Amino acid sequence: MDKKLRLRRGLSATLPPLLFGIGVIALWELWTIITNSDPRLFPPPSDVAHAFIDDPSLYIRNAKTTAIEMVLGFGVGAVVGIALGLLVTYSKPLRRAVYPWLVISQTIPIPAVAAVLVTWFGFSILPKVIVVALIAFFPISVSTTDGLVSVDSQMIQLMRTFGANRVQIFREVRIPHALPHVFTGMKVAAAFSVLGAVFGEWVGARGGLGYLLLIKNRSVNTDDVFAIIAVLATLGVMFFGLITLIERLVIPWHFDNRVEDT
Amino acid sequence: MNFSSPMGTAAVLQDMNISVGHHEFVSVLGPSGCGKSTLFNIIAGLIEPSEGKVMVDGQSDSGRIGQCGYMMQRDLLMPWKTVAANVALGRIVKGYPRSEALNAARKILDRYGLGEYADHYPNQLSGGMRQRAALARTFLAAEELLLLDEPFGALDNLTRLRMQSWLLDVWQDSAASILFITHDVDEAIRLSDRVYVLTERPATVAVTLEVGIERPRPYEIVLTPEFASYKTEALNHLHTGAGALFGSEQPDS
Repeated sequence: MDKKLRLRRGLSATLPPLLFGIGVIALWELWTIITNSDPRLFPPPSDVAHAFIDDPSLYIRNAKTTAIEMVLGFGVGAVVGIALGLLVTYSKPLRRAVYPWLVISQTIPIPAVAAVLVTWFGFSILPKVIVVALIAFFPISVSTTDGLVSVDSQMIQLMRTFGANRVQIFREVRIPHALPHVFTGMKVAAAFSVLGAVFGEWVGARGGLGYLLLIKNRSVNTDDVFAIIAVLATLGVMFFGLITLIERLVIPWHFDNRVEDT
Repeated sequence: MNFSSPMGTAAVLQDMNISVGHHEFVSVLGPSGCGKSTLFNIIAGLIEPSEGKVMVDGQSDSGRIGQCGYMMQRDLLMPWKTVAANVALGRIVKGYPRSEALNAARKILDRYGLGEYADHYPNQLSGGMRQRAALARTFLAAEELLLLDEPFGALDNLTRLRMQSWLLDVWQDSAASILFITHDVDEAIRLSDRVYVLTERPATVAVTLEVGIERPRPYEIVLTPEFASYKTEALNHLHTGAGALFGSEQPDS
């Protein structure tokens, strides 16, 4: 009964987007046939699939490079973002000094920063990791701060009636309360880290999907370009899914369904 | 004792003098927003009175924080902790070993009929069950004096009556003294040995009712003439208080 229910719920969650995707691809294929469009400008999905099947190792190899940049950059961004969130919450002078700069840092165009980073660190992985980290830390630090600040004040009062000190309140209330917020920030950051890695590769790289995209675009291999886009999107979705999975493991209470009243 | 708000403009409590004896059930009955919660915050040690003092076991105690179990209107069960971990929280904060505190929590949950829910999360419980879990947590944190601030205020009427009977059972099996806040006249009289009826802000004791009705008190007790006479007296004082029943309502602080 429970299993059946879960299966049905799973199906009702995955079926509509799947059908929608298939529908769009079918329409696209149909469109290219009807209009007889130039495959160099607008390749049918079947060509894109062929491009991938012809040489999957090319895509997988470059996807690996990009994925490593994403994960490392995300990791650095998460550590920095959470640390900043904590500092900004707990130190008033630091909050005053740093917070405006956090916001200003997000108005700087990332590609410009990426270019400077390449001048400094060359074609190594470092500039890409830094670019991803620069994009990832912001949503994480903002959501961490939100989570730490938005604690129910009565829960803190309750802890105080037990005689709890600041460390205990932090450990038992603030941190667990903040975790769902932190994960929300991390999911946003995970989705954006694809963007960061591609930007980082565009200004100077010897591998990676962003690098491959530039080359294929210059030689007008549009079917390859679309295949790369598809792989990039898959990478982003997988990373998002991974964070969601970790979220479910770390904060199961956030997802538990209500049980019927007895 | 007296208490003025930190802004110093309006007095919240004035010449408040109440006492709770050993294993007594005492209620504070007053219009909403009259400062009952302020009174509890003072007794619990969260804030200090502007004048006067709180005595625990006959001695003035400024380090009293952590000595009474305080249950607020909302159950405040933490959604990230299992029911058992929530109930054990007071003891864990007080430095008991985690496993020992959890064992004690399981024991009390068994007694409260929530044993099978010990490892559930609070959002899987009904309103009445959550209130029982919150009370278990309060009991475990401090067994001598419990401050219950409208614990059944958010429950529907039927659940509320059942919870009152249940609370009386639990209390009679324990050695605890209970100070209970409510704005429900029936609830105050049915549960208590003594009821302090408060006036509007600044709150002061309008009348003290010594409720002599014999225990146990099933819920039909509210229909007896004896009960009605207590109720009449309480209502009279609520009506003739400074602001009367529908006087100047103010948000609770």
